[in-house]
Amino acid sequence: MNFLKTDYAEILIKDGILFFTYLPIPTFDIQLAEQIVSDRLHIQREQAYPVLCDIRKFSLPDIKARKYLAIEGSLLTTAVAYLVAPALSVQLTQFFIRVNKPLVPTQVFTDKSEAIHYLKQF
Amino acid sequence: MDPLKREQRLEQLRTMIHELANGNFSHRIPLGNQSDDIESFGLMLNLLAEELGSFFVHPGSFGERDIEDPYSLILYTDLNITAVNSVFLKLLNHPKETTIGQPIKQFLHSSSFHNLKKQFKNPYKRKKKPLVVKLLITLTPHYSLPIDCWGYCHILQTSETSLYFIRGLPIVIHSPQSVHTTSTAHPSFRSDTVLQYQADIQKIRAVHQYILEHLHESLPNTLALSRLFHINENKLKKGFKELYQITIFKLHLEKRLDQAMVMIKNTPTSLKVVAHSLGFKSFPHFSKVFKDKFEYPPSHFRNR
Repeated sequence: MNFLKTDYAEILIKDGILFFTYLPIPTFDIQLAEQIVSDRLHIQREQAYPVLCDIRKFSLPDIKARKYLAIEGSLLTTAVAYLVAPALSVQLTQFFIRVNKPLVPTQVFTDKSEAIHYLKQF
Repeated sequence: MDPLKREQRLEQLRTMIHELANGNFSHRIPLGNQSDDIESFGLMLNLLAEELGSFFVHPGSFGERDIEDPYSLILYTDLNITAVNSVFLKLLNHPKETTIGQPIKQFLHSSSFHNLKKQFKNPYKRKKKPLVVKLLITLTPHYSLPIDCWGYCHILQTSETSLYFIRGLPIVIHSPQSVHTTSTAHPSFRSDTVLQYQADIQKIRAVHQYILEHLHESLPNTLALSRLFHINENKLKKGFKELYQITIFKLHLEKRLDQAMVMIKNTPTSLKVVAHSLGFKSFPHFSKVFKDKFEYPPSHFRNR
């Protein structure tokens, strides 16, 4: 199994990268963050991957969810590239990764091919 | 304006916002002689940092981590309740409508109320420190026994009045069904503090981040950590406990066990490999500390 679709995201493993595309989420809380990490780990089995996280459609997680994603969300990931919409989203994501610091290398991109290029080095 | 220069100035504003979010109120944006919006935002942010620095009597307690779901309440100087959060209402087991405006005395054990009153008598003598308060909540409709709570009290001053802002956690909840006590975090009730300077607080926060980044290996001892972060060992140990209500090594252990639980529940990785990958030297030791925290051995959570 290398593809999973849930109510909140599509997860695809392709060419050594895990593509995690968020769908619109009304409330992003700790329960959802736990579910997201759980689903991702199940599809990965025991393999760690660089992750391209497309958050162009999602709403900002609350503070508990952000803390959980920063630590437990780093499990079995080698690096994360956030794909965001330009302008404000970039700033909000920068805020997220500078205040709730992830445990693996993380960058923010607005261009998908640049994000994939970044992840290929891990 | 030169686009590069403009971008540099915007970056200074972003850095300031990140510093504030991390509880560093001593950071300031260098201001020039420009009279534009960026300059004005920079100025306002500097003012905000200054205000926040004095607003929170103990700046180190701002954004304190690992205190999940604290109760919070605000009292007027006459000790009447002016605001509460849902956690506190739940502890009281009392509706909001009949809580706001009521004297806190109504909800506290008499000895607890007298202690609180005594502490508030001369709060300004302790202006650099938050008051550590202990509340013994009683007289709630469905609890025949009291609930012990600890908390920090920050004194909020406006031009006209002062308010007491208290936040903390329940320590011991006495359930009517059980005579045993359920203990959660039990901080030491120290009235003194080693955290007097922002620089020390920032160093201790850096140690906290270092712990999170080293969950897969053993930590150096506190002496080595103190040298690594250029802080006195005693100040590091006491200050860390004061800021996070947990010791350095206990936090390292707790976080590793949380990660182990996520791995055990969601991956087929063998229990021994999970233990080893999180830096536990022996599986029996891992199994013991895991059971201490989660009540059941690791195998209990596999494939559930």
